Amino acid sequence: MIWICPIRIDSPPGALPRLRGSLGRNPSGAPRTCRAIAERKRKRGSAPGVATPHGLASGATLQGWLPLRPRKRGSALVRSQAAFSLVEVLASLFILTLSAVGITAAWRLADYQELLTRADRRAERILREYYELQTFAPADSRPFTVNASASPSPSPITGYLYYPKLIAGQSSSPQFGKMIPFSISMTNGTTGAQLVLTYTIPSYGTQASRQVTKTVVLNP
Amino acid sequence: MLGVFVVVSAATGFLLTAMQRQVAVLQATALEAQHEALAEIMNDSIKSAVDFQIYQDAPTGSSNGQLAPGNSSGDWLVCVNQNGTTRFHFDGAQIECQQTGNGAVQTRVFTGVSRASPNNDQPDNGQNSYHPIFNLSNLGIVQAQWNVNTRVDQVPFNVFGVPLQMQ
Repeated sequence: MIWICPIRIDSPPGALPRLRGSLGRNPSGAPRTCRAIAERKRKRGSAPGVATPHGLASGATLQGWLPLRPRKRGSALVRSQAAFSLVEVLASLFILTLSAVGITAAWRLADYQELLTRADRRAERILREYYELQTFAPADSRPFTVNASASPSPSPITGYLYYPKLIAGQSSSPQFGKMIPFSISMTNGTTGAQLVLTYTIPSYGTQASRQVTKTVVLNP
Repeated sequence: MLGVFVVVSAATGFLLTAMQRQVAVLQATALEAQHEALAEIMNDSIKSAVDFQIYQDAPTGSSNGQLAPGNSSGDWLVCVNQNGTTRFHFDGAQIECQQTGNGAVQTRVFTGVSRASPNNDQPDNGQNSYHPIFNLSNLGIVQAQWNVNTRVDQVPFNVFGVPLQMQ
């Protein structure tokens, strides 16, 4: 197991018996545990101190021992749990990546559905405008002439339903783009003359672009 | 640790960007809905008008209950119907709709408006010259054209209305 906690752990002997490397050692390589210090002091001729479960007793200080702070029970265990292992980090990275991909997909889908809704409302509004004009305007001002034949009107009205704002910084290009073209024509159906608005919605993912048709029957 | 910090920061930034974009889309939808309501009011006012005029400047008071003679195009539209008077005014950035009836005055302001290009099928890229919002054809069709600039797109509006006496 690889531990990537940057803090140094001063653990009692036996708490992390398999640790290797510079952990718990000084730069010279000598161990800095209580037992190692006591052995080094004993070799120098000093009397050993009285070891307690919380370190060394204060009496040992008078005999040359370095005082150690009392250590709470289980502190080494708490410190080892505060660190993250490599597996945990990799798992969190994987989960975060999946979350980012999921959020992106949901965002794109919501944006696409919003665009479809707005395009549908605009198509209905444009069709209603031309219906009003075709129904109530004087004959010379109507956009379509009533033709007795069944052929469609020779000159359909075209335009775009969506003018997205382009990315800033493209000063040479126009400020707004053009998307979702539509065309309006008048046909003679079975129920009489009718206005037909057709527009093409863009593709999304594996879904190909498709045409949407809206029809309104004109009053005779 | 650094990797976790980078990933969490990226995810937070990404989430904030998504929320900001969604707020912009919602604001654009709300603004478009407001101008749809304005178009409905304008259409109803024009179709039910017993008297109407278009002015280039602020209209003066009416005389003998009649509106003063107007112009063929301008940024002021006044419609008089049985319910009262409806006045529309474009001041360069917004359209103000003032409805007067039964002594009560109701004013609504619709923001985010710019002038439409002469051919409103094309988006307005700021290169069009002065084009009045309201104009009147020779055959009596009142047309109102304007663009709504939202944070994500531009929405052209066209209102065609034939007053009652012209139908």
